[in-house]
Amino acid sequence: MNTDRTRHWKLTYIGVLVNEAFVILCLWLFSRHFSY
Amino acid sequence: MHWIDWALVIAYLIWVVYDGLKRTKGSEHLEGYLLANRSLPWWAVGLSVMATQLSAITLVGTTGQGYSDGMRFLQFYFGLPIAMIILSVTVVPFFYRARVYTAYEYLEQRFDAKTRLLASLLFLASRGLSCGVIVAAPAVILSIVLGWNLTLTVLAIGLPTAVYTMVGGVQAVTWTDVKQMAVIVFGLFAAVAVLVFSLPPGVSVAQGLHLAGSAGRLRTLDFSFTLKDTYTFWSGILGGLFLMLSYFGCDQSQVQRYLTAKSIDEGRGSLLMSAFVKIPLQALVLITGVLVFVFYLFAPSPMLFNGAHDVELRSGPGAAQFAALEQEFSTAADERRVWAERAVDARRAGDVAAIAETTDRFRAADQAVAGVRRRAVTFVRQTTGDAQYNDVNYVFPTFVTTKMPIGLVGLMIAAIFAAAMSSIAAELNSLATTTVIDLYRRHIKPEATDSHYLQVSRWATGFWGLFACMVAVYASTLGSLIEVVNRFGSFFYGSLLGVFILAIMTRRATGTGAFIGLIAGMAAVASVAFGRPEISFLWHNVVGAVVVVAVGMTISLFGRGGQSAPVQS
Repeated sequence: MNTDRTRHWKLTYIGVLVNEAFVILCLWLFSRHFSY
Repeated sequence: MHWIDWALVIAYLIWVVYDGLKRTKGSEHLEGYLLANRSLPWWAVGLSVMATQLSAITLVGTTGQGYSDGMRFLQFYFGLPIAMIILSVTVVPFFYRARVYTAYEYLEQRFDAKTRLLASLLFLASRGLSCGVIVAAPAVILSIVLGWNLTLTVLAIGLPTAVYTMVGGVQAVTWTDVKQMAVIVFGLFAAVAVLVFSLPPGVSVAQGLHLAGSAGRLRTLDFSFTLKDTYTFWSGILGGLFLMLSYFGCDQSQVQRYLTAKSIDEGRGSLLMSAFVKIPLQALVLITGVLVFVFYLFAPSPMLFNGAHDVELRSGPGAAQFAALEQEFSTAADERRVWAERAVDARRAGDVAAIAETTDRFRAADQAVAGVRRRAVTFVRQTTGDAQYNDVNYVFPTFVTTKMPIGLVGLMIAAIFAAAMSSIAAELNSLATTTVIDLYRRHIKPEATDSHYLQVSRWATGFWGLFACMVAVYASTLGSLIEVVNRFGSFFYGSLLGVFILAIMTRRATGTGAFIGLIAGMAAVASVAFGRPEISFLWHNVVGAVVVVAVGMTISLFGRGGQSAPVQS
């Protein structure tokens, strides 16, 4: 039970980091596309 | 303003106060009034966390930044998701298990009374003043743009907020925050829709964005490493990380939000909601400002959006020079419009050489327009003696009141009110909590009934509401509002973070070490802020935290005062 909870939160934290990297990548592509 | 817009703003104010007043369930006891009996769901707390952070200053100032400087400001928030993860792992379970009302209460459990007292007094001084600035910011702007009386505008924002916070406590704050957040987001989408549909025939959104991009407004990432620039990737990721750790981990106005959550997991969820949503939401605010820039490429634009000194400038001794500047601006703006139209035509035709040439000419014309605007701002400052004169914060409200259709003007003014009120309510609530729990109950009247403390909490909320309104009336001449509010905090934020790092991460730190470390940290920040003013305020938090931990640990390890305490698991 506790292991499941820990695993759930670990995955959520990884999800936050992946989401941030994805958002920054999208912003970079967006900026790059419209700046030229 | 049309009567329909007036009716919408007044209806919003009545609705929000009514909604706040009926949210009093469970508020007949102190824990219910201050912490909602730790019963709120993660999504409501998460929206309240975001609404508290998104003040009217952020809404109005950030759209202005999008218009004048572009999307660079977004990098400021890059440290936020990482900060939220760190806080979810460390601070949230610690505070929750300690069953505290305030973050500073935990400092006495871990260290001693003097460290708690100093931290809570610093919070009260800093937040009390910044609450006044948060009331003042939209009041000043709305009073200038709409010609309203400043004192009445301050009271229209401050008093309803104080009333529902005073009566309903944290329940009223949280549930009105949820609705205010909806009003803000809806208002932003409405503004974006109006801007998109206001583009001239033949100019698509993509072509408008290409123009904004070629003028540098869409440059989001800047990887240069410099301590002087606030809006770079590294400042955001590192400096921003420390600022967000301090703000969400040590500032009672945010800590109190997630202390109302049902459980540790719900508290974590509320913070991680911001981690997922904050950067896209801030991008929406900035892109609104960028679209205002695109709008004014094709529509007649005022040289200056802040008309506070218009009469003096047009009739005073500098009138001829001001008129010449306006003429120069008009010519430059016309030329920029011509090149914008040619760039659009070239892009539509797919002529690569013409795209390159017209884009270069458009970029040069835009720099000329920006140059005239900069000179005009300097001229106003010199002529009127108003050194804090600011134009950026007036761009969006001017667009809203002069270009948006009837009905949506009222909605957007209500959204600006909502952004202000959601932040003010959380701050009043947290100021009252710290006043009662950390000062009154701890030092003045330790033995009293629950209902007595509840009554004092209500009066403390009312007192801080009046104090904020008074500060707001006198703070009306403050300049760049975003930075003023951040500076208020950054003088002690980082140092306070250092104390919480000592409390949570170390076993050997003592109360005396933390107390002296806190003072040393603030002294170090002050010496950097005044001695090296060119260093961005974002780095002050890093300096403060590092100095507190270094000094605190040194004194704890080699000094003889205080006792070490075990770290909670």
